[in-house]
Amino acid sequence: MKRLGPFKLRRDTVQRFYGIHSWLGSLGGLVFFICVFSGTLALFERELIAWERPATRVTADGAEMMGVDELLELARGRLGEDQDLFVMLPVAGETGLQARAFRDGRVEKIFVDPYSGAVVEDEGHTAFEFLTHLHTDLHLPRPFGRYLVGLLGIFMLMSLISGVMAHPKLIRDLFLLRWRPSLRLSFSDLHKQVGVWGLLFGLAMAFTGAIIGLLGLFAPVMVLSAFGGDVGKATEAFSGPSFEAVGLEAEMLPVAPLIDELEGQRPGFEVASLFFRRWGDESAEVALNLERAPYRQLTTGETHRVSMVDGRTLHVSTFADRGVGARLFGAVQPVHYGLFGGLGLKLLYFVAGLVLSLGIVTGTMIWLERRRPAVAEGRDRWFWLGRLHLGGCLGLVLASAVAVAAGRFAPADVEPSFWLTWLLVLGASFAVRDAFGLVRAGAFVTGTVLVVTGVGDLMLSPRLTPEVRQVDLVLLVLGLLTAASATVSPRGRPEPRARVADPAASLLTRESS
Amino acid sequence: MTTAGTLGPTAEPSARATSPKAGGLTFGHVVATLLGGTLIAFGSGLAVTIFLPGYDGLDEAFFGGLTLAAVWPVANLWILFAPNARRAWLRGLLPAVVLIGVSAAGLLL
Repeated sequence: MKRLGPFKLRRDTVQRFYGIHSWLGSLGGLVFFICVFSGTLALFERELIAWERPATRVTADGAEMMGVDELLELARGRLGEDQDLFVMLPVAGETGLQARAFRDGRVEKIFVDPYSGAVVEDEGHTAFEFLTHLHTDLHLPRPFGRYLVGLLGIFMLMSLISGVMAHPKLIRDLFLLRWRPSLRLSFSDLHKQVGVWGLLFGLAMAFTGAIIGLLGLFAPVMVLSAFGGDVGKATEAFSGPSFEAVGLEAEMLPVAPLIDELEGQRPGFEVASLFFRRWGDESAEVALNLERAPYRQLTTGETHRVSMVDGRTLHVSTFADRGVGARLFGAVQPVHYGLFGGLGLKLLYFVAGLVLSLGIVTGTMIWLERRRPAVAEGRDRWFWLGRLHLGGCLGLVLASAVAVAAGRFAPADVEPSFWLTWLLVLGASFAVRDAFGLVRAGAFVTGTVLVVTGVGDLMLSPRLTPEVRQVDLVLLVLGLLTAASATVSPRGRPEPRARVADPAASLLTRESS
Repeated sequence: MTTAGTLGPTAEPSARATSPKAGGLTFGHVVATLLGGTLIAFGSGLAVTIFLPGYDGLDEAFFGGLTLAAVWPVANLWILFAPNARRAWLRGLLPAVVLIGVSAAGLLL
């Protein structure tokens, strides 16, 4: 029997891989797209807070930055003395101090300007926080959403592996891109191109995403085997001993000297965030999280737990000094979130994420195009799936743009504007017959929203820092490119060459229906 | 469902090889994959955690987690490749029982 491709697979094996690949894509395509596209945007959650919240933008104007303890006092004055507090330290000339208190299952967040001392209360979720939650939990209750996303990672790995095995001429077709002959051929070529070029990125994201998503599910099993089921022992092995409040008041040490001392002991590292527990109690402690010169580490940073009463170190947890398994595991988050190569790497991740999203969309389109003969015979039972994918994908792109605009100009309306836009596009995808027209309109509106948002921020912002200007410029360029793509998008199905026009109604256009 | 319990559209002309005659995918495959693949993955994770030469306990647990995530999709594909549903169940459950059984024995001993 003839064997195909570099793996010398039998023809029926290749076809089985093809069947599995197409089924995984057709059933999971929309959810894959939601996860990948929202994750691509969520990459910049941390960087874009200052852009979305003008009140938190920091300008030095020649002033000296206030000390950490002074800023913490201001934060505690607003959030309360008795709260456990997570604090992200300010970056000179860029971001203020962010503090989060955890009260009755809710999170209260404030920003403190390190130059003026002004305290700004948060106005709800930022658009990027909202998109991050869509990526990590699909806005489902925890932990079920997280587990589902983890499982999607497993299915995505299956899809990627079966996709590679199903295309024996993958290397030969690496530079083959035919636009004209038929839509299916164009989609097929494009799908193979983005699939191969984005393969390593896709594998890395799916694998690390699966681990992050399913961690809560398989950690107890691992603990069972490694620590005889003693969860407390396992937690202590990594995070150190746990303490309870003793109910005796004690004087708290200043934090700044602790930070200086630790950074002196660990050259090349800097304290990025702090977590205070049981403030004012004799058992009070602070966890100092160190990062190697921000965003330059392939393994998650170190955490030093220090007593706030006498300054002694309670525990140090790090992946770096452990075995290979722990170090590999410690690399999962930095790899998934692109935290090891600076902003340039994140931009590369952004492009790769868009490429992966395009791969998912083109894969679904191939599957739908193959259903056309069934439609021609009146067996159009998959019509709804085509429209669902169309509305779901196009709607997510437009809804994300609208949410970003709302996040900047109407923070309270991020969630309703997102869901409403998505639902509207979803409805339109079933109501509007001309799908090509809908795609063009969607691209044009998305581009316009981005351009208006960028220009609006440039014109209306009270404080334009260089970073904010760059974000506005990026939005402007992305918006123009997206709007321009509407003008070059096909206006209908290309006519097949040397053949009479195909009378079959398309799943996309249903022109003959 | 189309005839003989195969999953619908993959049995269309361009995917003829997945038709029942050629040993196509059935719902039995899917259920066996979901169950068997999960059990094999967890069994592998357990086995690695228990039998890997020790570093500090935590290291083996992390290795087990990585193994679990790596094995899961491959095990799923392997089960889906079974020529029929009965073989799919065998492929799913047999290795899972062995892996979990050996791990349990290792844990007890």
